Amino acid sequence: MYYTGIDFEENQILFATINNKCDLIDLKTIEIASKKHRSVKQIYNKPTQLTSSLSGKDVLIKTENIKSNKKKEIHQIIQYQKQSLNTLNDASFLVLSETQKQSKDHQAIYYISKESHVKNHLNKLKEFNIDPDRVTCDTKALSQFISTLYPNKSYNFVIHIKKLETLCVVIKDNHPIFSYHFKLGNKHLETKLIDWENEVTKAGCSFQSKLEDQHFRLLITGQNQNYAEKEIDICKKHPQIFYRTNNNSSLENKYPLLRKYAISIGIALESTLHKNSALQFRSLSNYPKKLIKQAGMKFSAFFALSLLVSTFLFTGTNWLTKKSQKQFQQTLVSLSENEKNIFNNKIQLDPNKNLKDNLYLLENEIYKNRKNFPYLNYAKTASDFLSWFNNQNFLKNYPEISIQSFSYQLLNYPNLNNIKSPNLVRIEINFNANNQQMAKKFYNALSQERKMINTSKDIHWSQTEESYKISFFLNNNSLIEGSFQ
Amino acid sequence: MIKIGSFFLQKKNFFKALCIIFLPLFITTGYVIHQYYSLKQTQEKINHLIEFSNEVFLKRVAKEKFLSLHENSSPTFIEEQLEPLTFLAKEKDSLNKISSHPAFTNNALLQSRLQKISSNTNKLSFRQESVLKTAQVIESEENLTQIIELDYSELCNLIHLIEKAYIKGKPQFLIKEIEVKASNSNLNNQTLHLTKLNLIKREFKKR
Repeated sequence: MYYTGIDFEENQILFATINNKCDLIDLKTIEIASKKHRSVKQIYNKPTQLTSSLSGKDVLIKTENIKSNKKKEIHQIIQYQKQSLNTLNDASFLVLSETQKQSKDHQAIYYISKESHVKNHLNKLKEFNIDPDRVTCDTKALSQFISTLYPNKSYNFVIHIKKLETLCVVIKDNHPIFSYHFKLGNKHLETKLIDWENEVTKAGCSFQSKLEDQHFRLLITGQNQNYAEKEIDICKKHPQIFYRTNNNSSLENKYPLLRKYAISIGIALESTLHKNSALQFRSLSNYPKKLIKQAGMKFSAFFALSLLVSTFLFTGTNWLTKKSQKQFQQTLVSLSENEKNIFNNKIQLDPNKNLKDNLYLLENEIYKNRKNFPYLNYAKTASDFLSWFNNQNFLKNYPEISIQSFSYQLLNYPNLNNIKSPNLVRIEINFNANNQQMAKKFYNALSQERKMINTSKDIHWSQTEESYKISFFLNNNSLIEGSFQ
Repeated sequence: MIKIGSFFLQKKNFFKALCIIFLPLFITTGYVIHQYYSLKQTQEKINHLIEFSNEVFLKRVAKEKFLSLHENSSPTFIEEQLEPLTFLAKEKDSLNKISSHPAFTNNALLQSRLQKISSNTNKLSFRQESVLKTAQVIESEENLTQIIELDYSELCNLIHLIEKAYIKGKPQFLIKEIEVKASNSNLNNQTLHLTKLNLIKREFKKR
């Protein structure tokens, strides 16, 4: 992916192309007067993201301190400040913002412009068949250029000289703080040099007074080739405002015209940032049709995909449901056949009928036959208990235990007076033991037998001088055990 | 496409656009979940119905089996099958052998023991109480009238005969209460005293 920055000046367009690793690929200038439309096409025909910038005169910069470190609060303050900046509540005002973390709080930088400026800018580019994906501003592009290629922690005073105008920007930590634009450019340097210098000095003094007499590192970019001489000259004349450092960018050796393309390189560098970090003056009304179309296609594709997946899910579910319902119908039909054979019912299920209707019909038919025969005995019998007691070898494991008496009582059972009475059997055993410990062990062993003994009820234990008595209730047989005993 | 794109790009429409994209998926997912639970519910109902049908079948089979066994039951089963039973056969044998020995021919203790276990006082005898009748069944309580001496294997056989033995025409017997006490006979043979035996007897008429 390539990123191309377009710096549109009077009579010429400066292009800078970088790749996604921020390597400078190409620098080009097209003279508009010669109408080299073909050259323009050649440049932007590459698969590149095009970004242009609004002139410094069309964008106002304003900084505000935000005394908060909470993200939500900062967002709310910025929204409020944006509204207060647009005092005329003019919908055509565009206010973009970015925040910069400072030592204790945050600083918000507002870029204020008008939609008409953006429209004019786009119309001018349109003449050359250029429809940029993004529109930023010269001040931001310059700060990006300086912070990437001439990094410095102090305040930078950048003078960008265009052909007919000059832009002065104070940059600190990758963000422009103040900017000043005046209509004297490279063309006027010979004839109106003093006026030009006065304007620069005026801007310097003004910014210095706002920043508590800060010294600015001076950097000159743009059309003028004698950067060093100009910088030295200005610094000599105003040493209390400007100073100069000699640390030039290493790229300058490879690209001697690097500073001429400061804005276009800065724009391209900014394009590589995440779309939320880079400025975009193209609001929806000015948004590139190409991107709107792309967004529309993306939306349609997502919707179509969602529709496709939904259709697949719907069809699959219906297929599986029908398959399962068919299986259920078969089960019901075979169950009804069984019922018919066993109970001589006249039940007739129609497999083509609704599954729920069939289920309801069969349910009713089966429930008709559910009547219990009350005389079947589900209580554990005395022989059940004695056989279990013998097979468990309790007495062999406890030879010191001697059973003195045993009783089995069927306390409750379904009878003619109360057909629904539950079964309840109590066993009582009297026994002798050599010592209490042995008797207790015997009791504990019985308490573990959950299959036979109902341990949810009390297992009663008592002791007389000569013997021990233990009584407990038995579990009832299951339906199958009870039915076939 | 331009109109769709413009709609999609507007910040205020972002959630609307997301909703539109995911609407078919939401609806279908709802439908899938509904169908899944509906099928699951039907499956559970059918399983329950099969289980219940098996239960009903087993009950019916058990009822048929029960009635075929106890139908037209004999009202004199106790008199014919239980009351003639004799107990302590082993002890009786050994006592007879000992008593035939010249040294024990006149042993009073031995003779008295032999007489006691051989007499009618050591036989089952029941008294019928609280009789209830319906068109289908006569239910009564049969209580043992005297204490019986018997050994453990005879006790098990007796209980088995009452509760479990499959004899055509046998009434249904439920042991309501049984009490057995260990006791040593005078001759130190281990015997048991059957002190209580209360039975529920149900005689079923022919259908």
